[in-house]
Amino acid sequence: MLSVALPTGRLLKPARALLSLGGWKLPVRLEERRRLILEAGKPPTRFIFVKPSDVPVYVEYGIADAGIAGADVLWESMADVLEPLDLEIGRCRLVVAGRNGQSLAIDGTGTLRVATKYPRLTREHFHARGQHVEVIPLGGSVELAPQLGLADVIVDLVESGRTLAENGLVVLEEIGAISARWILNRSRMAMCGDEIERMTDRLSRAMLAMRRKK
Amino acid sequence: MVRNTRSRLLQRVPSGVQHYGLAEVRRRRAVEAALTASLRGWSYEEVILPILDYEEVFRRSVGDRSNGRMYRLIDPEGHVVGVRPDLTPLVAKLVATGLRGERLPIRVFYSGEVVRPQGPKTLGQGEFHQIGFEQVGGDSSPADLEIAVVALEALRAAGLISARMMLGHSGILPALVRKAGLRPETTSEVERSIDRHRHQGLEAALSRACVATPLKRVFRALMRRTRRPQDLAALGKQAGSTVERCLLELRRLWEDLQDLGYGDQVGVDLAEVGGFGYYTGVRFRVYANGVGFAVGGGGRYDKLLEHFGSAQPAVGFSFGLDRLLRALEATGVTPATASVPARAVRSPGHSRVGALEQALDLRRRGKRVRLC
Repeated sequence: MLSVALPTGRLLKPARALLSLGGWKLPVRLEERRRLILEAGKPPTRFIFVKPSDVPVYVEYGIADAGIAGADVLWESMADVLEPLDLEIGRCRLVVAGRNGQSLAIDGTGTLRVATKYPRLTREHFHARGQHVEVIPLGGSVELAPQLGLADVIVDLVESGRTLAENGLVVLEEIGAISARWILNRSRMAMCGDEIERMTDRLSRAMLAMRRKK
Repeated sequence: MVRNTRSRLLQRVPSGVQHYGLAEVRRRRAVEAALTASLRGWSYEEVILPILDYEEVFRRSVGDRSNGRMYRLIDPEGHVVGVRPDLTPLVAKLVATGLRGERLPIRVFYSGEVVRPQGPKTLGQGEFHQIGFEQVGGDSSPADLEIAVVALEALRAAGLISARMMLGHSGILPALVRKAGLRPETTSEVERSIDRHRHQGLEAALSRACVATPLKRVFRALMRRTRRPQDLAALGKQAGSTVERCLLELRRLWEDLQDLGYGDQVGVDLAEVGGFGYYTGVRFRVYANGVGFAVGGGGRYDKLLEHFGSAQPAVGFSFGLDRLLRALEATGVTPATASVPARAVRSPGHSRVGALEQALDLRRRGKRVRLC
């Protein structure tokens, strides 16, 4: 039986919709349930519910054969996994945001302080153009950091931009487009590739069905 | 305060390295012994390699200095040396220099640790025990087949029968890249996309580089799963003679392994393009249930020895002992670690000499004793 790691959080709803189109009916209100492992579909598939940033870990170590992970946490984790499908769900952007008029340039006023849940991606983004920044890693509510003076800017995901606006922030720079990826473990692909490939094919058909519905 | 820090350090293990004792050592040595006995049985002879060598020796393993994949030290004469992150270049150097003049082909094996600084990603292990074997000189295709068979048989000797070997070829992608005339930036994007099966990424990179459709199809086909040796032939026709030759090599190797009865244990994955930079031909990677990573790997490296002054073709394979142990554990195989029970020798009265006399007598007859 295949094991698939699914992220709790913002991706869970669209992932469940996609899986349901593919024939894996996961109960609604998953968030309220305490069970972290359940089986669904035919042939039965085991679904493991973990924190979004843990999905690449479970898949890289082969505890889960496959998983659904946002490109943000996937890149941040540097996990060595296969990523054959862009699932086109959970679309958003990874951006640098700050107060209107905030400069990102190196202007001699010292090092730019950047608060983020993605310390590695942030460092990479600024280093790529030779800018040294002070990265301040946070676990959540990153939008608060500029207001409270913890950081000058933030690097975070933006869907509609409403959360940013409510906290008096604007997008200063776009780092990349983010969406959920179907990821696979290399070893499991060598050991039970047929099974994994069948599931991948069913998912890409489900993606087509989802596109038609829109 | 100073004393406190010092004594804390004395009880701590530096990050990335580890020590083992008692039962764990018995377990590790039992698997090591099974593998090396199997290798000796195929006439591979042990070599002992230096723990350090000049950084240049490892350049093809780790790339240039900036990527930080090796510990570097300054030796007393001021040369930069590396703590061995890979053993194959040391074998290549030994064969090309110290063993120059020996009859070819030379078959050697080694068993020892490599050290790799932990990247930004993991806080885990940085010291790995590898058991590997290499064949230098000799005809390529029989040597490739021999290495594959010896690897699979060594695994069987260690108790891992469910392993699966994926074959690949390091010559294919570079030939395709040359044929398509890709620039370096595009090349690395194409390589990364293929390595991670990123279909959309590959498509975008190839379109931007205006690669012709028939050739695009070949790039795409590398990520497809190859089920039968015949499928490889179909791919070659559109891809040029170099690719065709590589595919033929792979096909023959695969068919030979099938004929030998390894059909269920062998497959082909043309998308495995990662690994050390010195590989030039057939590639091997072995996977097992219970471990998310390859338990062993290797390949042909025909250009490595010439850097050490003796151009010879070579092919090799190495097992990662830690991952192998995990795979064995997952499949429920416990290495036979039981030793002969020791005879307890007690001193009669208070005579220490008496006890030792008895023990010496037993030892000289080959018995295991334990003084009480």
